[in-house]
Amino acid sequence: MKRREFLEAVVGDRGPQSAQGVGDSPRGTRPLVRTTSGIEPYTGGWSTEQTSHLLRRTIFGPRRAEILLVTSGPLSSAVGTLLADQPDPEEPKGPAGVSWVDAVYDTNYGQNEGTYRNYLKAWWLGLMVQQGISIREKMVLFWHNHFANEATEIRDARSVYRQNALFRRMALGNFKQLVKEITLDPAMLVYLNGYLNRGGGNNVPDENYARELLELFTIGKGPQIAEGNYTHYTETDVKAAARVLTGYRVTGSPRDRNYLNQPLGPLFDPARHDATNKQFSPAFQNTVITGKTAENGATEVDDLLTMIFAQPETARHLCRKLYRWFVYYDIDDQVEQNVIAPLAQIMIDSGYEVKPVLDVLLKSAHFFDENNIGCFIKTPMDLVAGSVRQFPSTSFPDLSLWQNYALANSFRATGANLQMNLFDPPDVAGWKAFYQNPDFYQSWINTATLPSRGGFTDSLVNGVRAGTTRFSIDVLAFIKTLPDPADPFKLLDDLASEVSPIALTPNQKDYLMYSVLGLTHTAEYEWTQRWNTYLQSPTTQNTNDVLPPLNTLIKFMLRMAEFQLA
Amino acid sequence: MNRREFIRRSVPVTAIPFLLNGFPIRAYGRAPFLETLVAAASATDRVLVLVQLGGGNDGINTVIPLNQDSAYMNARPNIAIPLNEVLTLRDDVGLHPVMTGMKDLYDQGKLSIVQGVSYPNPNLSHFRATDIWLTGSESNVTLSSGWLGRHLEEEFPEYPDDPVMPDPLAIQIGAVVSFGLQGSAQSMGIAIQSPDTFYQLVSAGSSGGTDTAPQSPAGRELTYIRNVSIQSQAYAGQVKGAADKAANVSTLWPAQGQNPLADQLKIVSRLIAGGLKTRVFVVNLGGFDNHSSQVDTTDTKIGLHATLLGRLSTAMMAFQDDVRLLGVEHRVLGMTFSEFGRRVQSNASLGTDHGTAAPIFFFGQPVFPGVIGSNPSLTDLTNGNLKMQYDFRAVYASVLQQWFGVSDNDLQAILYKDFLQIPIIQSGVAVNVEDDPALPSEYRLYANYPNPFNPSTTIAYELPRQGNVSLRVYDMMGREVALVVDEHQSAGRHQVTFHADGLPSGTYLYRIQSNSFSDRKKMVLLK
Repeated sequence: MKRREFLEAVVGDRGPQSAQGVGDSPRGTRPLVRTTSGIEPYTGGWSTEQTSHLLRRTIFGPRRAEILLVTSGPLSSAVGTLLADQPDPEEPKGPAGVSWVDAVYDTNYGQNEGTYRNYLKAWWLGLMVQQGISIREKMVLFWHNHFANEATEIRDARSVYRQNALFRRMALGNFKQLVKEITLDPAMLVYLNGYLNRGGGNNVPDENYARELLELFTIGKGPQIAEGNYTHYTETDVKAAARVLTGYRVTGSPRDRNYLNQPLGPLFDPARHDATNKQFSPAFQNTVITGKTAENGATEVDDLLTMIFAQPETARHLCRKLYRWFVYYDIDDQVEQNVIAPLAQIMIDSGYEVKPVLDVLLKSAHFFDENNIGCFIKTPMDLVAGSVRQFPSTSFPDLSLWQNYALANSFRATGANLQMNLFDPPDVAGWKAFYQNPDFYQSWINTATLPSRGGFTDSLVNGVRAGTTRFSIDVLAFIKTLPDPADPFKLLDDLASEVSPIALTPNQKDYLMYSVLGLTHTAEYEWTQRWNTYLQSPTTQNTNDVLPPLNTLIKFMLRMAEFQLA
Repeated sequence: MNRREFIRRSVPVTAIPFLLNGFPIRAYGRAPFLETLVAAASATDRVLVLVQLGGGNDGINTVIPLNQDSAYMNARPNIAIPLNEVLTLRDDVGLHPVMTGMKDLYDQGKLSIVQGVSYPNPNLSHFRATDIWLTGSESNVTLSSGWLGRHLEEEFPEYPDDPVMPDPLAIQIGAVVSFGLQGSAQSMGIAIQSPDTFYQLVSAGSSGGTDTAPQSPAGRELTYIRNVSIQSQAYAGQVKGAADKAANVSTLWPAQGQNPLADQLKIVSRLIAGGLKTRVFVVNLGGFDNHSSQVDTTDTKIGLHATLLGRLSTAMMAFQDDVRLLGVEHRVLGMTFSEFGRRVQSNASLGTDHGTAAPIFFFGQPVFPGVIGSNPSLTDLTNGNLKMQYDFRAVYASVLQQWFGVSDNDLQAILYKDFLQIPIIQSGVAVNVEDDPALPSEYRLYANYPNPFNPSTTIAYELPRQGNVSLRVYDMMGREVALVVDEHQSAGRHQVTFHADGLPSGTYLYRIQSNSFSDRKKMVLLK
């Protein structure tokens, strides 16, 4: 089949769409089969098909044993486990186990800051791999993508860590409270210039944070309906919010040297605050935030958030982001109506709690709808941390420990090469996969990254060496975990369900059987004999009868397009 | 007329199905005419190098107005560049002091500046504004394809199976393909980080299933990934082959790793010189979102913005030197853009907030050199922001027609609207149809260029048959003001220069008549 026909089979022409809207269906005029199911509880079958789907979307690289464990209990237990509180992980350390997260900013810290930042990145990747059956690290990454800050801009590992710890502490917490905390978060104050936003007198406020607060973090941008009017807010509101937010500084940071010797944190300086009244537009019901003087000026941020969170659009915006993180990017009218709107209502009713929303979503008929299975393109972290986690390996070092930095760092670098550099998203909007219409998830995959994904999975089978550590998938151990690897047909069926969320076709399985594994038609059970001989007597020669073809098979299957899906 | 239309109109009807089925032309045995055509197509291929300045470049401190001293100093007391240190291009316009390479290009006639480029109702979000620029949309319309993607799709509807285009149509240097290259159903471009690793990784690849994917969301994503896999394999050899054929020769390139834009442009130069027929290359330089510390506290000539402009200038100069030495300078046009300019008034943190209109640079031997448009007024503002002089889509239309020879009809299909063009390309370089070896298949009157013009402009037309030709110019009252052509002419492409000496500013019509054909178009004289 020609390349173009491939595409035309599923994608229609796309002309101009009438108006911008976050709810727009991203692709074309040709309707795709989507679902009309909503947030009503899922009551259908409960087998590894559903449990694999649930775990693939909520943790990195679910293992076979975890899938079987979850399948043995009901859906409510599975979601209960995923959403349960978790103990705090150990803090990241530097080389030789040095503790730095509470260091004072001195020459020694300044010189080592870059190193600590790299250790921090590797540590987080390690947590993703170490995480058990819990949604937490997926949510930490969600918030990192939502409040996207770049560590290379902030250049202070302590404040970057502190922000990451905030996301972990509030992973399933209250959204409004999180916005309050992130507004005063030292890393954010530096990244979006909050600490430079100065009002009063002739000072012109710095709008950087105020704009992103409205556009990205809370209510979100709607269609532009007039000059400077983005439906949900206007340029007037950006300017007014910037004035509300004047006066903050950051202590303990080399960015604000007047306060370098204090602990890391925000500081409100009334002398820099614009204490006049702030008039908002009709988008916010013409609210006036009364200017306050002296220390009272610091409470204006609460008035601002109260105003923003009184708008139902704020809940909808976050629910759409959660939907695109856990379900699919295509939000058509049905999804908007049957899923986003009721989830937003749950969020509003709970006072902006996140956990009740996820609890309903992950138990919903919509989440388990056939049409929502397998349509998520793995992020580089799903691929990298997920693949490292999913398969048994020759050694399984705890990658969150400083002792295993070299290996964890090599995986981190792979993620960065695949365009997901932890702690350094491309810009304040986060990764394009979660907002760029019409590409969305597809923006992860192109002619540069797809071959590199294949190169990475090849390396897991061939073996990765970093420092003194060597890591590889233990292919034989992995095959032995399957129920009946001696039967070549069952072997391929089980491998298929390990690597692909959707069924392989008979043609594909034939190709794997005869061309990749190299069996002979009508003599397939010759494999049974080879495998059993190896099991009874794993000599070098008998191992060589099974391992090389299995290595080839695994490498091939991990390069299949299906393995990129979750 | 684009090449596709030309082929369709020129070859015997019976050959068309075979062409549309995508078989290589050479498989059809000796077909001298088609072979000539293919050779001509590759010989005349023009390249556009698009340089995206991410984050919103501060146009006012890049192309600095020298005619509004006090307004400039008043608006930007803490970040203004000392005017006596600006690199003067002409009395009223100068460049940031760090941009010495681009000043040299200007002096060599290889740089042009289009002032005040924006669009009605500008959007101040990075992300939405970037989309508007890349898709070429109105500010209140969302398009899901890019302006270059639509052009490439018009010209190569069979991509990626086009029989005469074995190479990628567009290449993004980097790991993310620009949205500007997005076609209606697929990206018309591919991404590569380095030609060598690209080849190694791809050649180790495998092809997965061959069955059609299911009609479901998962099937849609699967199909997309498979398609990328096939594309990578198809193009890896071509890209590697071109990269192996040429090496960078300029001594002006900065050391590897010092200037990310230069590193990207080095690859572009190598691939063009190596014979890759790719039409569009996209490169990026980010970091222009200078809300704070745009300038140093003690010296406004240095700081974040100066570093970035220095990189842009150095990279552009080295690239131009390289393509000149490699002998491909005549077919390479470069263009910069950024999602918006910045606020006229600086903020208290030595930076600038999001703004609107900004200048665009064109670079290369084919450019129509100089400064197009006037300095933006720093006092006549809309909400504190500069007013627009040129719609960015007028710039796109000019590039597409003057450089790629896109017809009026196709231009309409790509940009959804008519835009008055501005002179981007020197006259004489002209559109690609004049390179086509065969005679035109139909009558055609082209849009004049430059337009608006003062005092002269060039009008081109094509005649499929010889005959008497008249070309007359009328004012809007219908009065004939000039008879430009009135003679018997042979079949083929013709062009004449119209001099408007003595005529007042305004819109004029020009009308051609030959045999039973007639057509007319508008042009604007702007004195």
